[in-house]
Amino acid sequence: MQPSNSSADESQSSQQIFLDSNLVVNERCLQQMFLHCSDVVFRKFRIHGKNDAILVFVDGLVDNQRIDQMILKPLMYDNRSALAREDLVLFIKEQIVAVGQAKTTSDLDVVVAGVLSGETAIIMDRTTTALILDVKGWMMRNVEEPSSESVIRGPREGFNENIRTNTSLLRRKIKSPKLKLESLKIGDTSNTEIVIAYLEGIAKESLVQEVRERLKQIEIDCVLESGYIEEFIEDAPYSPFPTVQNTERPDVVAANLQEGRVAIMLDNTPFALIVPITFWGGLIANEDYYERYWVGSVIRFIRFGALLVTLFLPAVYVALTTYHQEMIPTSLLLSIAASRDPVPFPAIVEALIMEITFEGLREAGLRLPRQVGQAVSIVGALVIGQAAVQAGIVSAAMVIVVAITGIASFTIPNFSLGISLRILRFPFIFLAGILGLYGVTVGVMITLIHLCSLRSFGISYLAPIAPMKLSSWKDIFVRAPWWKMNLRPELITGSKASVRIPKGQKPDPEEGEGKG
Amino acid sequence: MNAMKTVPVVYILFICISLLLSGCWDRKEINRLGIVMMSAIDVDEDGGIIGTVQIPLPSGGGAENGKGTADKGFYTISAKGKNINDMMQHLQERSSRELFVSHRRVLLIGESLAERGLKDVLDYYTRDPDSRLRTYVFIVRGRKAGELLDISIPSEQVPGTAIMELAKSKIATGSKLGNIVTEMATDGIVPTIDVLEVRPTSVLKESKGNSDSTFRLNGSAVIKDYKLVGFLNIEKMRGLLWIRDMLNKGVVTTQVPGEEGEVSFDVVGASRKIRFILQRHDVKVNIFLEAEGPVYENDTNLDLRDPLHIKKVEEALSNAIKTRVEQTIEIVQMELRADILGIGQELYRTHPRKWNELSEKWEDIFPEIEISVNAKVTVRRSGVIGAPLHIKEDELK
Repeated sequence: MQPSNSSADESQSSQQIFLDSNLVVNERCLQQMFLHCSDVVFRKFRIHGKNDAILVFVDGLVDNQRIDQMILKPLMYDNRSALAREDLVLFIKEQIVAVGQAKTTSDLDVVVAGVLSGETAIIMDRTTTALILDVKGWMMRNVEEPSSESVIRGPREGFNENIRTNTSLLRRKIKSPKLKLESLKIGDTSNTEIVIAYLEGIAKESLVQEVRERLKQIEIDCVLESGYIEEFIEDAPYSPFPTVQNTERPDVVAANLQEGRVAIMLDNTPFALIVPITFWGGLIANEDYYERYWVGSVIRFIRFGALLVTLFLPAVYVALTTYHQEMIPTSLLLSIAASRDPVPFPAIVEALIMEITFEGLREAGLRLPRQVGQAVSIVGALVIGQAAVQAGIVSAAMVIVVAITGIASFTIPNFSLGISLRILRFPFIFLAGILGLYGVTVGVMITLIHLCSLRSFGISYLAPIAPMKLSSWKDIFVRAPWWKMNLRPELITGSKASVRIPKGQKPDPEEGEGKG
Repeated sequence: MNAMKTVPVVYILFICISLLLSGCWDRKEINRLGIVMMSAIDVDEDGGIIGTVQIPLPSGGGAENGKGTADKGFYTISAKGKNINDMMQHLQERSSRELFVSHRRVLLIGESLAERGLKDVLDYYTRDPDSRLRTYVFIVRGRKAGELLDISIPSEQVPGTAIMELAKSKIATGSKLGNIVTEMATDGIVPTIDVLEVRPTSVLKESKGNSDSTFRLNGSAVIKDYKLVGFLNIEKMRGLLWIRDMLNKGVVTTQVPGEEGEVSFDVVGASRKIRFILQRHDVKVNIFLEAEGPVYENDTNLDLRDPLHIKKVEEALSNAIKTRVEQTIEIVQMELRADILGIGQELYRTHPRKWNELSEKWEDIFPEIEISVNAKVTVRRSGVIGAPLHIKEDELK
C-alpha cells in the first residue's frame, strides 16, 4: 500500500503543470479542464486598464459581493502608478486586495484545487504566478441542535456540514494552542477535507500516528460520510460491535479529546469519528457529566439493565416458555399459558415475528416523512398491540416482552452500539429457541469471548473491566463527582496518567471558612 | 486463499447442522402443557394406586375472559395404576396435554394409603426429577384425597394455590416432601404430616356436598416406619409447633385467675430452648418457651396500663401455654409413643455421647423420660387503648 502511494505521488509531481506566462495559454488550459462545467466562471478584466487578467471561481461557492467589492473594484478602478512592477502579484496581494486569506502559486493543479474548493484565482498576463484568494461563501445549514443526540441539560449546538464551522465549534470549546487540527484530503474525485483533531501532550503520539497512517492508506474515489472512513479504519470489520464512535456534538468531541482520544472530522457531514473507544463508552451519555453525579450514576445503572434486557429478554422469554417452564413462577406461568393458549406458533416464531415487525416499524417510522411516520406508529401500535393479540396470532405476554425490549434498546445512548445490540438479539432468540437457556449461555460466552478479543486502536474493548484497571472505574458503572476524577483515563493517555483535576477540591463549607 | 475461505464455511455448516438437526428435541410449548397444580394419591381396593391431578384451565386467568367465570377454573382427571409411575402413565392417556408436574406444590395422600405405607410413594416423588422436594404434603383424613381436588375455592383460580398458601401460612407445620424424607432418615425424630379434612365452608349451615365445602387444616399425622400411626388434633399440633420451635404466629386465649372474661394474646415472637439433665439411664428434659407480643383482646375489667395487671396477665398466659404444651407432650409420650418432638435429635446435637448410649433404645426410653415445660410470656403492647373504653371508670381495676 505504502510504496504504491508514494510512487503515485512521484508520478503526479512529474506531471506537474506550471502556469504559462501567456494568459491565453493558461486560460485555454483551464477552459479545457473545466469543459462543460457550467458553474465555473471565467471573468476577464483589466487591472487598471493595462494588465489583462482573468478571475476564475465556481459560482455558488464564493461570496459574489466580496469579489465585487474587495477584488474587482480595487483592481479595476483604483488608480495606482506602480503597475508595471515586476512583483505585480505580490503587490496586489499585499496592498490591493482586502482578503484575509491569500496565497500565490504557479502550480496549475493548486489553482484548480483551490477553485474547486471555493477559492477565487486571479491569473495575470505576463506572470507565471496566480493569486488565490479565499472569498468562500455558500449556503449551509445553521448550527442546530443535533436530533440524534438531544439533551435536557447541555449545549444545544451540533456540527453541520461545513468542516470550518465544525472546527470553529471545537476551537471555541478548547481555546488552547494544544488543540491540533491536522488536515488531509481523501477521495480521488471528492477531495474531501479531513481533520484529525487531538490535544497535543494528552493524546498519545503513537495513537495520533496510527490514526494518520490508517487514514493515509485509504484509497477511495469519494467520501460522502464519515461512515466511509469508519469502515476503513476500524479494528474489527467483521464484528457487529462498533470500534469507532460517531457523534455530531462538539461537546462530546471536546470531552473525548480531553481524555486523550483523537477525533476525525470530515467535510460535508456533521458526524465526527472518535477513536479509540470502549464498549462502556457506548453506554455513557454526555449528559451524565452535565447533571449532578447522582443522576448520572443512577441512570447508568438503568442503562446497564437496559443493555441486558435488550440483548436477552426475548431470548430468555423464549427459552423459559419452551424449555424451562419450571423456572417461571406458578401464577406467571398460568397467565402466560392463558395468553399463549390461542397462539398457533411456537414461541420462537412468535418472538421472531414480533421482533421483526418491531424493527420494521422502527425503520418505517425513521425513513418516512415525519407526518406519515406518526401514522405508521399508530397503525403499528394498534396492529401489533391490540389486533394481533385479539386475533390470537401473538400472545399479550410476547407483546409486552417486545415492547420492553424496544424501550430498553432506545435507552442506549450510542446509536451504533444500540443497533448492533438490537441485531445481536436475533441470534440469541434463535439459540434460545433451539437450545433453551443452554443456548443463551453459549451465546453469552461466545459474545464475551469476542468482546474480550476486540481492540479499538490498541485499547481493549472491555477496558477497564477486562483488563481490570480499578482506578478507571470511577467513570464506568457510576460517574464520580468531578472533584474526584483527578486523573485522566490511564489506558488511553498512556502508562502515566496525567492529572486532570487537582485533588482536594471537594466543596466543604467549614474547611473553606478555616482557610479563609 | 481458497482453503482459507472454505474453512469458515464448513464450520458454519457444521454448527448449523448440529443445531438444526438436533435442536428443539425437548421443546414443549407452554400452551401444550397440562400444568399439574396439585396431585392426590389414594389406595385402590385391588392393591394398586389411584392418582388424581388438578389442572388449571388456561383461559381462566387471561385478561379477556368474556366466557364467564361461573365454571371452575380447573379440571381433574384420575387414573389407576400398579404403582405411581404406572398410574402417571395412565393419567397421561386421559389428557390431551402433556402433564407437567414441575409446578406441583401440593401432594395429598389419602388416609388409607398412609396407613398402608408410604415407602414406595416417597421413592417416586423424590426420584422423579420433575417433582419438587418443596412440595407440601398433606394427609386427607376421612375421605379419599382425590375427592378434595374437586372442591373449588372461589377466591383462587386453582385450589392448589389455596392449599399451598395455607401450608405456607405458618399455622401448620408446613411439612414438605424434602423435610419428611430427611426426618424419616434421621434418628431421634419421627416425621409428622399436616392433615386436611373436608368441612362445610361455614359453621352456621350444613354442608350439601362439594359446592359449599372447603378444606380445613386439622392437626398432624404421625408417620412412623413409613406408616400412619396416629393423629394429633389441631390444639395439640400447636403444642407441637411450640416444642419444635416452628411457631411464628398464633393466638393464646386464657382466663386470668380471679377475673371474669378472657384475654387474648398474639404471639409475635417465640423461642424455645431445650436443656438436658443427663442421668445414668436416661435424661431429663427442660423445655423453656418464651413468647412476646401484644394483647389485642381484653374482656376482663383489668386496666392494662398498670404493670401489675400486665404481670398478672403474663402469668396467666404463661400457664396456659405451659398447660397446652404439657398436654401435647402427654399425648405424644403416652398415646403415640413416637418422638415427633425431635427430643432425640436435640439430644444428639447437644450431647452426642449420651445420644450414642441411648439411641439404640430411644424408642423405648422416649415415652418414659421426664419432660418439664417452663413458659415465659412478655406482653409488649395492649393495642391502641389501655383500659377497655366501654367500661365505667369505677368498674376498672
